[in-house]
This record gives sequence, C-alpha cells and structure tokens, in this order.
Amino acid sequence: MDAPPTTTGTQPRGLQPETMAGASNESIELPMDQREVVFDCRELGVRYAGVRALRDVDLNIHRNTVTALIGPSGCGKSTFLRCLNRMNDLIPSAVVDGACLYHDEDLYGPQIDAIEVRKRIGMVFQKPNPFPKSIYDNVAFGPRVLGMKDGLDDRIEQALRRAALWDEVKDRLRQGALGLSGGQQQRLCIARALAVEPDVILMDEPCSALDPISTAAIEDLMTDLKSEYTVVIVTHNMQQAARVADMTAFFSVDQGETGTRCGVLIEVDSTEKIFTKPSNERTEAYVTGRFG
Amino acid sequence: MRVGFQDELDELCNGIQAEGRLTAIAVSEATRALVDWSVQAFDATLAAESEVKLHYNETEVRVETLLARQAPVAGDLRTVLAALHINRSLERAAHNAARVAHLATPPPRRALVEEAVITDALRAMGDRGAEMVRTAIDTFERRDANAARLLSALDELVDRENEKIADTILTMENNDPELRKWAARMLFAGRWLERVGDHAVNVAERTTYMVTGESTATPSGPT
Repeated sequence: MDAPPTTTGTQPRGLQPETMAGASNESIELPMDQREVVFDCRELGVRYAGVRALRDVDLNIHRNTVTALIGPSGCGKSTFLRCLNRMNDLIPSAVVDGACLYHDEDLYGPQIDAIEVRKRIGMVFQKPNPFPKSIYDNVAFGPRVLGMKDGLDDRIEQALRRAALWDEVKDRLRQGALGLSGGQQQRLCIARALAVEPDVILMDEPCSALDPISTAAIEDLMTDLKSEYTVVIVTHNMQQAARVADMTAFFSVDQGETGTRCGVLIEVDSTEKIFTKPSNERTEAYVTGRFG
Repeated sequence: MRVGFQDELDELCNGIQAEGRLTAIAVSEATRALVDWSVQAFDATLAAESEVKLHYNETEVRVETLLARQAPVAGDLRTVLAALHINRSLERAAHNAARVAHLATPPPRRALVEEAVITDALRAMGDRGAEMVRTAIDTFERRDANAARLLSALDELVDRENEKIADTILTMENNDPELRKWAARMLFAGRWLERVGDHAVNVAERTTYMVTGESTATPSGPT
C-alpha cells in the first residue's frame, strides 16, 4: 500500500468509546443534514494494481441514518463501502487516496488500528457466512476474541434480540448455525456484528441471496437498527433502497478516452428526492431503468 | 431500456391527450347548446362527455397497472401521478360541460339588454374555457412547464365574466318569474363554466409538476 493519507490529529478521537453505539441516539430526532457526520469522505478514490476503480468521492454519512449506495455493476459502490472499514487493506494491490474521516479522525491515519476500525465498523456480506459452530459461539466469537467476556450471555442475548432472531433461536442456542434458514443465517451474521458493539454496520447486498420474506425481515431490521447504529448498504435492488434508506448515493461509471472505466459518485440526496426528483440526468436515467 | 414500460407510459399520455381534446369539444358544444339552443350541440356534448368517461376509466386502470407492475420512479412517477390528477380534472370539466348543456333554455325576452349581457358573457366563458382546455392539453403534450401562468391569466378573464353575470342578475329590476327562473339557470351555467377554467389551470399545474417536480397545484373542489 501507498503511504496513508495525512492524519490531521494526534489522538484517534474517532475511535474512542463515546462514539460507539448506544452512547447517544439523540441525533435521530434531528433533520438528516443536522445529524452528526460519522464519515466525511473527501476526494476518496481507490486503485487496484495501478488501475483506478473509483475517484473523487465527496460524501458525508450521517449518524442514525440508513444510507444506500446504488449504481450499475462496476461503479465502485462496493469498493467505496469497503473503504469505510479498511477492508480494501486486505487486497495487496489496493491503494486508497483522498481522505476518509470517521468522527473527524483520519481512518487511514498512521496511528489507527485497522482491527479496531473493523470492530467499530462491522460488515455483513452478500452471502450469509456463519461459522460452522453453534449459534451461541457464532455470536460470542467477536466478544471472545476482543476480550469482552464479562456478561457474555447477556451480550449474546442482546445481540440476537437486536437482530430480531432471539425468539426463533433462544431454545437452540447450542445447535449448529448452519441448520438455520438463509434469512436466519443472515440475521445471525448481523447479530455477530452487533455483539462487539459497533458504531456502524456496513451491508454489502445483504438480501441478494434471500427470499422475499427473509428480505422483508432484514429490511425491517435495518429500520430498527438505525435508532442505535449508522447503517450503510450497497444494493442492486432500487426498490429496496427506496424502502429502507434515508439517504441514497448514486454511483456510475465514467469511461476514459483510452477505454478505461472508473467509478464516480454522481449524486447523493435524500432517498425521497432521488426517487421523485433527482437533480442529475444520469441518476434519472438509472432509477427509471433507461440506463444500466 | 424498459421498452414495454415506455409503451405503457406513451399509451397513458396519448389517452390523456385524447380525453383532453374530447373535453374541449364537450365544453365548446355545451356553450353552443346553451347560448344558441342547438339540439345537435346538446347531443354532441353528451356524446363527448360519454367518451371522456370511457377514457377516464381506461386511464384509471392504466395508472393502477403501471403503479402495481412497473413501480415507476422519478420523472416516470411524476408522469403517472400527473396523469391521475389530470384525468380527474378532465372528467370533471366534461361533466360540467354536460351540466351546462342541460341548462340550455331560450331567454324569455323580458329584459333584452340584461339577457344579451348574460348570454354574451356565457359565450365568452365557454369559448375561453374550451380554449383553455385545448391549451392545457397542448401544454401536457409538449411537456411545457411554463404555461400554468398563462392559463391562470386566462382563468381570471373567465372569472371576471362570471362575476359580470352575477352582478347583472343581482341588479336586474324586472321581477318577471320566467326571467328570474332563466337567470337562475344561467347563474348555474356560469358557475359550471367557471369551474371548467379552474380544471384547465389544474391540468397546466400538474403538467408543471410532471416536468419540474415542483408542485404549484392548489387543491380543487369536488366539482
């Protein structure tokens, strides 16, 4: 990796406990643009093996909101999502440039621990990926690794309740997680992410492998979760973005003179505006199905 | 590109345009029936109103189907919502035209000056109303966001003629019962023609919303 972007402060304030979930959810009462900024991305871009995949993303993500990232394949929305918890660090050829401030702290600053970042900023993936262990051990995995062993049973129950799974599994916590349905497995993965008390939940197409009923359960869950967490979701399902997101960011692909393709952020606004009166013609063409 | 969806949207808009042209005919014929006591015009009014109702029902079904099956958003959603409101305005305008035609009665020739003033005002209102409906539908067809202001100005002229009718009737000195009865019918006719102008303005305002997303529409009454 290249040298990380300049860090503006010396103390990683953004990763202090007061910024964590449950510390305050007063901002949910505020208008969207007045809520605390959790992520402040400025000219954020990514290259893979020298090839630019995403450029110049200026985007704020506010606390206690669900922000949806939409756009055609290859537009960089998942790449952007992975910047928010430094998942791109795991790809050797990936280089992140620009700035990604998390609670005003440079997420790519030299004193920031990527493991700590991923604890505060959890992620749920497209395909449910429970460990081949019991339901209990799946949720307990993160707290055990991080040494959060006090009151573990309560922590597990709370995480499962927040993930709207407790009532379905409370009598079989010691049974294997792989015996759950796809929708239950995905909610288990959400519970696993919640068990380490994150501040932000990132979801990369969390419902694309699920049936409509499981999808509805996850969508309801997203709405519940935003009272305590900040949620960012990548989705190919525009109606899902319209249903669950407070803010929607539309990414698209710019083609250079040499034929190279690069993801760009076209427009970000309230979901209502994006789906009734988008400002940009490219957004209009995409959401109405005339492009992409 | 969703070709089938675009075809359905085009059908919806074409249906609205046809309904609008029929509504303009209904208003125009109703005015002839009212002031010229033309039986053919009376029949033509009711025939046009009947066709408008058919279009109205078809449009309702198209809107329902588009919303249920295509989940339109952005400009497409605004088009569907505008069509829903415009459909209602046109149906009401055509219904008002039929009401006007049903009020057609020759004046009793008891107060010639006042009768002429009232008849001329009604003819002006009817002609203006039909022109406004045609203009509003042209506006919709061209997706012209700026015509609502012009329609509002025309509507003021219609309102003024309606006030003239009311003032003339209220100040009539002749108490002949036949004249009073005729005048009361013409007062109602003026009211229905005045509402035609309002519905034309609604069509233009919904067109502005369809094009710009900015709503300037004011809720219209049930008539």
